[in-house]
Amino acid sequence: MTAPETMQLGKAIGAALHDALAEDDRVFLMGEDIGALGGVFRVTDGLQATYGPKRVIDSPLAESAIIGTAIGMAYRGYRPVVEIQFDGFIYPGFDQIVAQVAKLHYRTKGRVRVPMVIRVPYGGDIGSVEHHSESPESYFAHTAGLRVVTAATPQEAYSTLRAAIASDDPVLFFEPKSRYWSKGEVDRSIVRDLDTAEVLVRGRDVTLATYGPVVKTALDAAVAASDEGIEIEVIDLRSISPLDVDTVVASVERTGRLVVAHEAPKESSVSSELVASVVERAFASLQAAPERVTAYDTPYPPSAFEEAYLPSVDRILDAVDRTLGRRSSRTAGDRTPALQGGSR
Amino acid sequence: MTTFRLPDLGEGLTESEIVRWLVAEGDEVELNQILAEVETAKAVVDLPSPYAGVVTRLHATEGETIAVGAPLIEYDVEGAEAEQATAAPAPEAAEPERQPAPAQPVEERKPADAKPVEERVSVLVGSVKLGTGARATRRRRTFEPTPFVRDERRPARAYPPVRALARQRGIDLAAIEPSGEGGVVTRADLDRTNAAPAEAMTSQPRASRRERVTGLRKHTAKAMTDSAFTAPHAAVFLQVDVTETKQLVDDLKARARGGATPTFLSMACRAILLAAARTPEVNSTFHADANEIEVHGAVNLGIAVATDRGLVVASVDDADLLDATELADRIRTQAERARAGQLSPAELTSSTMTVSNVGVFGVDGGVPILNPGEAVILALGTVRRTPWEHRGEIALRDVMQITVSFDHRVLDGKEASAFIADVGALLEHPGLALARR
Amino acid sequence: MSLTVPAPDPALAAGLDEPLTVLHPDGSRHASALLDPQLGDVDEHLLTDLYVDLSILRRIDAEAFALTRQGELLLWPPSQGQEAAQIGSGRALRDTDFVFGSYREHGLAYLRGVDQGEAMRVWKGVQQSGWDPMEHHLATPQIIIGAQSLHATGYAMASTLDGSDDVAVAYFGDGATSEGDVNEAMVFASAFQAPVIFVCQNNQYAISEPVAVQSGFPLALRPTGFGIPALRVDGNDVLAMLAATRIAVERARSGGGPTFIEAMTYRMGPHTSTDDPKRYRDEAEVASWRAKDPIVRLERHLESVGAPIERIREEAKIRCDAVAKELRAAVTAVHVPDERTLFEHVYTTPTKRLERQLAEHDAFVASVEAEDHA
Repeated sequence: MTAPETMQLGKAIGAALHDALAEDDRVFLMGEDIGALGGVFRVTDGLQATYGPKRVIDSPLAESAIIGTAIGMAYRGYRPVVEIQFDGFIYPGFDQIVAQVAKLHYRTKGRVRVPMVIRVPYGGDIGSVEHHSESPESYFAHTAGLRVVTAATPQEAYSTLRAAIASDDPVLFFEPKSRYWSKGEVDRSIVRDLDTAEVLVRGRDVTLATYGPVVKTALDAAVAASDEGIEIEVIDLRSISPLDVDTVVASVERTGRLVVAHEAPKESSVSSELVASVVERAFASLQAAPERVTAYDTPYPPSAFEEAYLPSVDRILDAVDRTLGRRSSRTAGDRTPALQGGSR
Repeated sequence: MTTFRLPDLGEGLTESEIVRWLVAEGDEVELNQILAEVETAKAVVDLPSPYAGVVTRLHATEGETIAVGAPLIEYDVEGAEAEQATAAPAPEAAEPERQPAPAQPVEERKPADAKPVEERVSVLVGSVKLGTGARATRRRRTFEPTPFVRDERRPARAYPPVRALARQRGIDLAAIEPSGEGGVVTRADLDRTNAAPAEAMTSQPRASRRERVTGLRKHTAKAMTDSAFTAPHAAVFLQVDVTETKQLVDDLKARARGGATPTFLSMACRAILLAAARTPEVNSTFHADANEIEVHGAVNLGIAVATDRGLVVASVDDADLLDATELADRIRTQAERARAGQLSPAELTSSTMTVSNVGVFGVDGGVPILNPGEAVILALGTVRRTPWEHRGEIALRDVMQITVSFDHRVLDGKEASAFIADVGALLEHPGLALARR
Repeated sequence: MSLTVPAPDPALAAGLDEPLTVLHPDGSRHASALLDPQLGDVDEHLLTDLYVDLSILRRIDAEAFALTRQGELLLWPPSQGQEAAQIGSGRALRDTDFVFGSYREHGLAYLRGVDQGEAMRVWKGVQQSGWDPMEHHLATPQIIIGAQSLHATGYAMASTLDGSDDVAVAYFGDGATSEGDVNEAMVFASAFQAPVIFVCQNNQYAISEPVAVQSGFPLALRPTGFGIPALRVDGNDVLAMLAATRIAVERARSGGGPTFIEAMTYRMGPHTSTDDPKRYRDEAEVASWRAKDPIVRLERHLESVGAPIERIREEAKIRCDAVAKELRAAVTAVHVPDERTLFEHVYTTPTKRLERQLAEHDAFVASVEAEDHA
């Protein structure tokens, strides 16, 4: 049992990798620039020096090969933890992830396991150039056989990554890169699962479900809403696939209202799935139509527009207001009373 | 004095440590001269000066970690405006993923004068940083927000159509004992519950009630239908002294000093609506197929409007919930919209009884044809100065003729007469509205 | 303007002018300085063994093809014509070497002792794979062209990390050499000097596209650009394939890194049982390759060395008949598993979500009357 330490989220991931490498010699890391440089975000800083170039492998620049060769290593009993340098760089590896990693266990009726973790720094709000700020999680959540998880705090990052590495299923671990430098306490003895959402703040009026980098925004929104007497129940989904619908349904049954927020665009997204599932299971409990606060359905814009593009405290609260039937951006300008037709 | 604040030196960094100052207070520095070595979470980098000038103040000591956006160094810059509180552009990046920081950093990283204090919210596992800035607040809105009032009661479970129906009927779902599976309030539960009183101000349509047509009325209705197109209508007439009402309209106008006031027509409509409340059958529909009379819950008052495209009936929905000033406004808007062809099909068909102000054409009256599906239509004639018995004398009074055509399958002459008499009495003595229920 | 583009180094490739061969179509044995040292153990016994293997593979292919035409199998990708390329290379490996094939390597499944009934379950459409890859050191069929080349490379990298001398072999076709995965596999294999052997069966066609569509120069030149030596071999010469693969295996086991073998062969049949090759190639071309048939060639050679060919042929026929009978019985005995098993093995432990869907499925099934599948 070690004492909790205060560390940044990125460092907490590094600590999880360090501890996993120390505990299991079948664990190895592979990726671009993860060795001497310590990764472009310094997440793997010092690991190659400690564990050597055979366990912390700087790979050639080929994402499909990073994933594909890691599959081969898994055949031989290794537990690969590979890094995709940026969210927007994952697509060359897409086939190996969705057609091979995801399906091998099913294809072979459980005879081949792929206990692989694919680490992906994701999300925007970092003022970078194209392909460095995307949220591609839905592509993978749509694929059976993959687990897709993320983390919002240093503790979650540490504990969830340890669980991901320990899992015999392949896991995409999406790291909220805008939160890499945020600090928090990390207790290395805390073990997490890969299946459950977490109610972070209790509230009676509206359920706000989100994940990854938007969790912080959601907590801010809950604080701001309290100024107006509104209690928001904030849920960190943690697992994007499979989604913990049970926890969200239980909350909506209490609040009657649901807002889902994420940085990914809206169409066919995690919020699409979550809202649909909640409507399927808690239809009668919904006092208002569920709302979604997401990025717009455009490509990720130049960073000058990030503030407008990403969910913000104010956009979230605007949606909260709509679920509560309060004036919002969509009704404020409309002076026509909401008249219904005749009752004939 | 010009302040250089610590920029984000790469992809979301929140702070940096000053490793070594390469300039001192009082030094004259050139543009792009290296000011300091700064260590971020990613690298030790040189920090070039964004200005030429004289250093007046260093805000950090070596070894100190400062937040992105916090003041780093102050200069006297020749010709510079005082306090240019801008973060300088980041230096040239060494690798593509270290491109310059955005022109507008997000709120969290907006320059702050003091070294920001981290605020945390404890969560079930660990803690979440709330940001380096102040407690989160909402931006001011361009409109007045609706106050939030929590309904402390157990939220009802119900499906959307039942929720809509409850709203229509003014029924409070949370007050109903649910009978459905899983504690769901059903349509049947609503049917067992009486609607709340109409004082619950609502723009939603209120419930209609249907009565089985039996006995004499059934026979009458059948007879009327059989006689079909020849005589479905009957009519009653009444001449009314409306001087007091006209006077009232003028008085109100004088008091309002240019504000909105009722018109004579809207006052007449108020009288009609008050009378309709005493004889609800005038606000109904005869369903021949079902042999039922539907007495409507809401009064959607149709206003016959002559337009280029012919006569249309524009509905003022929920007219009975409006006062005379509001009615005047709505009648005017609906008439304007009717003439502009802007009415929706619903607004052209939702009326439940109709007023035709034929007086505007200078005629005294006529027998109007019922708007289909309605039980009455009123024609208001022109108001004429007429010799009229007043307080035992003959006086010149403002007199108007009212005609009520009615569907004889729904109303008898007695009911129609009571209705028209009520309208007349109210217009003759508007003060009666105070006295009556 | 003068621009000199450095060509891939031909010195790394052998057999560019004429594929490496020792057995000519007429059955005569020819000397090869490169291959002969690998063939010291070739005697009548080994030749007979090879002959029986080639014959059995051809018979498995024929029987399975017939079963598709009889409605017993859904689909079959024939291997006829490629027997020597598969058997020759496969017999150069030891059991612990791991083979990652595409979907046409029926010869490797046979050599690795896979139960033919198990192997056929894929083609019957009742399972996505037929055998235990870990038991046979043989990955199950890979449909995505070239994807397995990366798995083989990774396996080989892991073997090195383990300090083992096990090698990995990737089988793929001429079309796959255009895929990014095969090229990335060569990048990694070269960069990490992985003990992996790339066996490219150049059967001249990727479905309908002749190899010229993939490349205007010999495929064996491609790996040389990655620094990987290549052997261009007569793929219908079982001895040449055996020898070339032995060279590659020896290099890999001794830390010499990857080798690429281009086996020049021909897909005598259609791409699959649903293909119509008459639309894209003529009979004369097929006939010219029939004249280079790997089995006929070996039979002639056996004859030429004085082996009792009638007895060998008879023995092979008995073996083939037995395998075919067993295969047919196994295929017809396969029945569709309980449909509830379709929910199994998506994850190592079932998720709540899938348990819920299974329950919904059960409820639906219980709500309708069973259909008559007879």
